[in-house]
Amino acid sequence: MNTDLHAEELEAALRALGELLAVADEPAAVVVVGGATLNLLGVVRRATNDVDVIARASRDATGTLRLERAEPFPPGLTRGIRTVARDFGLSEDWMNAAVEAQWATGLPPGLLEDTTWRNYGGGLDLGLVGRRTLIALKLFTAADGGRLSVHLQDLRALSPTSSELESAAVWVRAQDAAPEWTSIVQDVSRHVERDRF
Amino acid sequence: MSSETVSSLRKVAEATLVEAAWAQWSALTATAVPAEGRRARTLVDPEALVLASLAVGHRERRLDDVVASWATDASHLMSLQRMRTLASRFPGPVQDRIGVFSRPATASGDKRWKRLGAAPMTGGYTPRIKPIGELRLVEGPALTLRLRAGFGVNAKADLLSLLIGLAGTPADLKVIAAATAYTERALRTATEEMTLAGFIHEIEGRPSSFYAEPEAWARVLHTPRTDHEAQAAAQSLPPWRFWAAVFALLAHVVEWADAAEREGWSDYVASSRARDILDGARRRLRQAQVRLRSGASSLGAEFLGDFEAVVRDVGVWVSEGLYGSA
Repeated sequence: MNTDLHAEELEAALRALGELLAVADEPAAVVVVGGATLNLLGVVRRATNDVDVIARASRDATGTLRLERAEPFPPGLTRGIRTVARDFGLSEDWMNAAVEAQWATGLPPGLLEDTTWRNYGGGLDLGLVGRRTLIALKLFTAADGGRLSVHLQDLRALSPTSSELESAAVWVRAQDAAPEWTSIVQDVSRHVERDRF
Repeated sequence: MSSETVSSLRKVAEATLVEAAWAQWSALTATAVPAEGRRARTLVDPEALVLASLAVGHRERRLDDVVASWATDASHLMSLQRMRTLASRFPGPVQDRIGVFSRPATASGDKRWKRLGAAPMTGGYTPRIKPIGELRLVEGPALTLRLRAGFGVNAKADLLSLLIGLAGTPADLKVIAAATAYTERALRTATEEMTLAGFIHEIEGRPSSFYAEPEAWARVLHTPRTDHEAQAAAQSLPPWRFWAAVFALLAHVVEWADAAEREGWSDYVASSRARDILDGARRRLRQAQVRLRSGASSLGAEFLGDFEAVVRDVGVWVSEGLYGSA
């Protein structure tokens, strides 16, 4: 079973999923974050082992795009993910909503406005969060995962400016009430700034 | 998508089903004439034959005529239970055409078939019903029907037909159930009683398996006068082939090709649906001992090539199996 997805494999799997959804007439729109987004945006060129879905998107009666919790996935999307896993030898959860837990403490502000959309295979609209959201989420996960985590490498690859880091830190600090959390976040920010020079 | 591949596989599947249907019908009745003049020499599975004919009947209307004529004159030799079970393994469009058989069967007075329903014919074609004449029941390929005529339409007759067709090779209940489409429970009773009667023999084990002695049954079926004739008759007993599994696979290929063209599938979608078909059929093909030369393990749309090889292999298996050399 292939657990590492490089950019080309990722594109092929997403296109396949979109084609299945289109044929089944069960289109889906999801917003993704993490390594898959960085790959698809060309920020990094490392393999990722899954596609993290943070939200689903739909249009309301007025046509306005709205985000909703990713889970549960609609049955058509769940079926399509499993089928693509079988057909491409991927793990069954190659696309998952584990990161959806972020809804409990709040999504980074302006996530929807910061998202660009790509269509795959006619049936899958994939929202790729932009730089501002990626920096916020990567700062959070790097602070949570320690200096050796892949998230810190991803954050470095994004080369955030001081002001971008500070904006992100405002949201990240609000994610955890632990007394030491603020200094951990500050520590990671300093680390990234130092690496830049 | 690769419409040439789809179109070519449809042709292979249809041509194989048409060849098999005419070869087998002509082994049962003189009213059916095989295109190339060759009658099947291996055992005919009557319900699988009807379903295979329905799978291509809307393209080969004369097969609808034979099915409807057979239903009118010989439905009493057909198993409603098996037809139901096997039909569920065929694609929806074949199940939708079951009325081509059940309607004339019911009209001829065999009310059992009313339970299968009699949906109106689609495509505006009404099959022409002709007398099927004398049934070729004592000829080898019709052994299942012959035993049903003698012992009744039930699991015992079909069990015996299978075991005679396996020519002494033992089969356990799972294989027998896969071949006959009766429940293991019904077959457990049938094997116990047939063993008690000495018609078949049990090899105890886990699982136990069962066989019929070819020479002994050749004596019953052919009434030879000498031992030499008995040995020759045993050699000429019609071999069993797992037609139902293979015909269902080919019917699914026809339906797959229709859907691919109708809905404009991409190569990937076609390959994924092909994988669904093969995944669904793999266990039965294994039980049927259909030896496929080609592996089937390519990823993504590449699987389409594997599927093509499998369908072509199955086409060869059928052509060879009809005449006893597979």
